[in-house]
Amino acid sequence: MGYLANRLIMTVITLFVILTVTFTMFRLMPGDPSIFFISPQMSTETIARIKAQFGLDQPIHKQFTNYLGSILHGNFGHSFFYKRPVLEVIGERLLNTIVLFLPAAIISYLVGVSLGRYMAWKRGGKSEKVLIFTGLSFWTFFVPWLGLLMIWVFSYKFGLFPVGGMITPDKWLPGSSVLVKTLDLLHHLVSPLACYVLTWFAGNMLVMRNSMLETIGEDYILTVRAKGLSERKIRNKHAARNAILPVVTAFSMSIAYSIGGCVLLETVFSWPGIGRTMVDSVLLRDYPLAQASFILIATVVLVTNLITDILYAYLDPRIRY
Amino acid sequence: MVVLELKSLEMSYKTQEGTVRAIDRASLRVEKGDTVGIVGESGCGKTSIGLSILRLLPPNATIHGGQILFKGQDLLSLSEKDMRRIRWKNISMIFQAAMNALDPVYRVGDQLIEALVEHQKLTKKQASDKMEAMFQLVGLDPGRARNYPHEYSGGMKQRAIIAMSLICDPDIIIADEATTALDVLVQDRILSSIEKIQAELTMTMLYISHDIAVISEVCNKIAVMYAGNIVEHGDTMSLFKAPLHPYTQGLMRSFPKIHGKPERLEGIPGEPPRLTDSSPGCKFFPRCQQSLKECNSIRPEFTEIEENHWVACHAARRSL
Amino acid sequence: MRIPTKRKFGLAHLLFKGISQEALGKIGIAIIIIFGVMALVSPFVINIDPDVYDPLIGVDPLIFSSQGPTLTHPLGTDHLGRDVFSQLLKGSQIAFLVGITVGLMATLIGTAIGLISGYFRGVTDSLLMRVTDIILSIPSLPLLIMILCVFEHRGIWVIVMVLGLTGWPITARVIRSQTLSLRERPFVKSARVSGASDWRIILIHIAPNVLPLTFLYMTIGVTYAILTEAGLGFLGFSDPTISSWGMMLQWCFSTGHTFKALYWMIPPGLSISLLALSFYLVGYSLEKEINPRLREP
Repeated sequence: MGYLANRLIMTVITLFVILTVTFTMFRLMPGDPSIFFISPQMSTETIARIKAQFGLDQPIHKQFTNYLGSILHGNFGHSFFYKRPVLEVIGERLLNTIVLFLPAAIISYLVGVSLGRYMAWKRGGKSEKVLIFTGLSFWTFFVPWLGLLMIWVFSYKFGLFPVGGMITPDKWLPGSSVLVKTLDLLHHLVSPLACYVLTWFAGNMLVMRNSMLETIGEDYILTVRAKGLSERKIRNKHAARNAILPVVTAFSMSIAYSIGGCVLLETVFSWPGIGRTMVDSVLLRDYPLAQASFILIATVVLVTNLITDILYAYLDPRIRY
Repeated sequence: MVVLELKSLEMSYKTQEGTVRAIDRASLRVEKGDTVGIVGESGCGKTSIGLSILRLLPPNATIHGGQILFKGQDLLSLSEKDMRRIRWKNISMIFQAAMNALDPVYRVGDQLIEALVEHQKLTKKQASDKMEAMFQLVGLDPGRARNYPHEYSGGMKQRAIIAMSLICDPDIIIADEATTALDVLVQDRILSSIEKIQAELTMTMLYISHDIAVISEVCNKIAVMYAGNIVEHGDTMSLFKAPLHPYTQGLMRSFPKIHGKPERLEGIPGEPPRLTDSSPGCKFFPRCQQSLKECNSIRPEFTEIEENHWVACHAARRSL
Repeated sequence: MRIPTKRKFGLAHLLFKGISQEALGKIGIAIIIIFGVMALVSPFVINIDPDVYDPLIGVDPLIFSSQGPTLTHPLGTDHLGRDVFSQLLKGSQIAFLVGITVGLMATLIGTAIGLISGYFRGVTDSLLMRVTDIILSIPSLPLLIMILCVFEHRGIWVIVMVLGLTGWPITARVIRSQTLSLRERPFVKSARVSGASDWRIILIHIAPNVLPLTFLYMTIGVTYAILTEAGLGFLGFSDPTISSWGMMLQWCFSTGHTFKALYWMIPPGLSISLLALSFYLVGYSLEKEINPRLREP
């Protein structure tokens, strides 16, 4: 079976597992599970119907299929706290997270790869050690602490960037130009994005460095050298192009780990994304919202993984898709 | 015309166990149209010669003596930039069949074209045509040029590598164990292809191998290598009929003959020396049956004993 | 007949060589030792006067808010008058406990699965690798938050268990890779030919050779555990009966002391990052020893 078809099936299975785990967890809590879907504004008949559909009277497997069915239709229930359908609350938050997550992923990947490639080619010397130490230090840096430090230096002390949040409300009143809005958003984005990239790039850098060092020893690099190609062409066209394959795999594996960092950053920077939503809703015991946030966070990871899998298939001609 | 000449080449590797003298005063000469074979046991330094000529040695290796004259010019005195221009265009290489010489992420045809356009300005069509011509020359279907290396068999890969080495019409090709690690049938076919190409294109080749049978088939001149030294150098016939160096004699004796009476195969007693040793005398002394008093203390000079026949041996000189 | 077990590396020898030859490795060990000493010293500091120095309930009777460093409180006090230094020492204990327990758990499980998967191949391998892939795709911090959301009891052992049970996939993959190549080596084939059972081969012949890699990935596991637990603590989801470094930062952050009390904000964050880094540095020097291509020319 094709590689991509395989990966797609795995994604679906993983999603299924996540939904099952979530379902099981919340069913283990005492109480009537149908309250997730009930809003005080509903009519008595609707409430009765929902209770019958999602309540404890149903056998467990029916509960599960109803649950799956509603999720797939986008019905995550009603937020206890916001008293609105969860989907309404969450939609925008998801976008806010992606505004932070996606650029961070792309920049971390690119910076990591170029630095790793540079380091491996220029073997030895003090600069390599320094880069490795710096990289490792940032990779193991405690994310919230880096955030706090950045806020302290750049916002508190020097007032260069906002202390938190995603936008300044006055700049987003109706009538403000797109340019003003965009600049405001970017202004708020710099700090958290910088923090995110700093703690994410080094993993990639070190894997790329290691991978390059392995690739440089390969026979075909000798061939290319014998053909008279310049050092730069050898490095970029042949060594890096081959070395990148394990890097894409490693990057894929780092995504699930890094989204935890996203949750922490959103909390430190008061960024209104689904990470912070999840944290807040857990503290507020708004279970429908918490559950939906978790499922969406996991989905973001799965989708990104799938994209990197596609990238990998494109890069490695030995994969048949 | 002398295309390539090595004069007392010396090269060493620095390793954790010490300095390894991989090439210890090696001299040979390749004239236009020659196919000179370098034959010797594994670890005697043969591959190093090929890499030294193209100056592709790893960073822990240094060439610290002698000259490599290509058409009269000492390659060792060239800058890296100038060397790059000579690589492949004038001197190309056929790598060992066991190696992973093709880049797995690029199509085979494109890798040939890459070699071509690095040294010549050509249109896409011209490059493509030349590439296909090369494919046909080595017996590969040009339609396969679009495939990746992992879709080729071992024999096909080796043919592609041979085609790649020919594509810039180099002055000399260095073939290093070009058919080793292939099964005998494939080996035979590839050797025939090589011979056919030799005849069609009048190639000049330096053929490195441990397999004396292959060397004798393909080469018109042979250089025998032992422990980093070239100990005998002459045309194939002379070396087979009347080898002068005791090591060469041993090699010839350990090779079964098809014609004539069945003879007992003789090996060469003893073991090849470690290349980290540096004894003052002849390296072959410990295993030599014809050694003289001075063999242990004085290095024999590589001298032209007969016309176009060199030997580094005290005993050989004495007997003539 | 006893087939001699072929050991390519002795683990202790490797560790020693790796670390002693690499400056960064030495720095790593030094940091670990410093924090180790801190962890050991913690109970002694508390015993000076438990009413004052207990990390959670010890309060200085004269102090009611966060104050800067003094002689009696080298790192000052938190908003409740508790000694920050004592909290830091205790946090060191917790970090080691959590880190090493999870590290061991995840590595043991990962190595076992990697060995089994790589040696037996076939359906077992397929199945195990599918499970590995699934667990790899599930983000652990959010998962932990969910679990702790549902189970009100936020004990540190729940956290340790979940981390240990979800942190093994990367190790499993790497060990499986190693096992796949090791099983084709001559010494394994000869063992099989002379009739050694599969389990004997795995335990006596293959396992010792993957040990260096196991140890390397354990350092990664320890770091992962320390950082994740700290993250949980920062969000307020860790064990409230323990003053882990993450919790310390949480208290500082949520009471608005981030910029006002640097003596409180800096030490815990610095400690988390340094200890996490130190294990990675040790891992780095070990990796250089295992893989010669990564060494300097």
